[in-house]
Amino acid sequence: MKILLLAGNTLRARAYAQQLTHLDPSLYEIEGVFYGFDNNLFESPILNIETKRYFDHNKIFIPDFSESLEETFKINKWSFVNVNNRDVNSEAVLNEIDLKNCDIVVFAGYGGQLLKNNHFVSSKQYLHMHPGELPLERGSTTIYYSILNGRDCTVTAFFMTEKIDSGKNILFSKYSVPNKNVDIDQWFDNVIRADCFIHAIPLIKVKKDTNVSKKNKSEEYYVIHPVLKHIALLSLK
Amino acid sequence: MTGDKLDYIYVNPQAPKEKINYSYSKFGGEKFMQCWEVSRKKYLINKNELKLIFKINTNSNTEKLFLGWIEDFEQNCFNNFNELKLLIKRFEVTRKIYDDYDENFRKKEKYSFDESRLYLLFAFILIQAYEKEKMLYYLNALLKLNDINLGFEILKESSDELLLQYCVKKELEFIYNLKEKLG
Repeated sequence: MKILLLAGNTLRARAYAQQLTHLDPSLYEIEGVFYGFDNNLFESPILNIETKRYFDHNKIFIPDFSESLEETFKINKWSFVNVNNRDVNSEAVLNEIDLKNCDIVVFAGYGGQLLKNNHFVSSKQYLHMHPGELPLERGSTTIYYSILNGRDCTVTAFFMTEKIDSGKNILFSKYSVPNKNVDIDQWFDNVIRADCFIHAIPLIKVKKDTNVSKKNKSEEYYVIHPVLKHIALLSLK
Repeated sequence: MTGDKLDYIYVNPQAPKEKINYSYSKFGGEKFMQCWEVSRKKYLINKNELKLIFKINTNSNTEKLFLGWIEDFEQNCFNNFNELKLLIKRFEVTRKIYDDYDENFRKKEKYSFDESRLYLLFAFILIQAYEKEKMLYYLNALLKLNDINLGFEILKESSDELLLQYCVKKELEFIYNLKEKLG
């Protein structure tokens, strides 16, 4: 099975790439299309005690965010190309994806970027990990809404369509609500998405999927107001 | 918010022309919540029960729509939640309320978004919707609308001042309740 990582220079892409090293190389071939990288130094966020404790307690792999995407690929002898364009919908990016004869494209782009229809005209399937239970928790900053709604945090691995947060669901992974001081934006969000990702890949390979939502109700959330974000964070135990 | 200064940065007198940015907001702990509270409480002058009367003030079609919705809420027969959610979606993308929309809530005119009364009426509608449905996207949009409303100097001296106070008072009440519920 051939996996293409379509990646911006992001923490999430690093987490995904480092999780890919856990796959059996005899079963999976990995390639990369990296876009919009610049020469700026990438500051990796500090892993505080509470965040590390959460991951250790839940046996979730902790990536080394100081390791660049290129380094991970080089160490593992995976091939990749760099596209000098930050627009994921640019012709240059689309051409590179077309050149790769992959089974799935794993999207780990820059925050706020949406894939336009051009991506979905080929038979390639785009895998995305959304930090919410779909379709109940569609949209933005849904981890905070899960906390405010008294729910566990869920990541849904699904095949994307041109319609936001809709498509065939592959896997729902549940995570307990993070403890006080866990770094949600930089660590928790990226790491649980990567954890769900690596569990979804074998399901895709054997063509197994949940394909049904646990709840039919669909709700859309938008970028959380700082007051609500604070209430969520201050409620953590 | 910067340093120890008690400042709430999300009220911007340039809004709605300038879009207030809420992405990746930094955590400021209880101090941030105090800043928000101060930004709201200074407008609560009238301590009595607020009696609100709604009448048409502008020529805007959106105002007519909003007043119709308000009437439906008052008569407990509002059932346009899908339309309301679509308008929230449009508002969340643009952070603007336009004087007129087509049937899909797409703006009809690009620059007709500075009627302060519409923002206030929409905030009032969201209050009714949140009280009825308790869905957080109503409260989320209400907070953003009140940030815009408090930046409108004109509202503080208008006949809509009481409505502004009502919207702020309800926002405070909702947030206190949510905080208490989460312990």
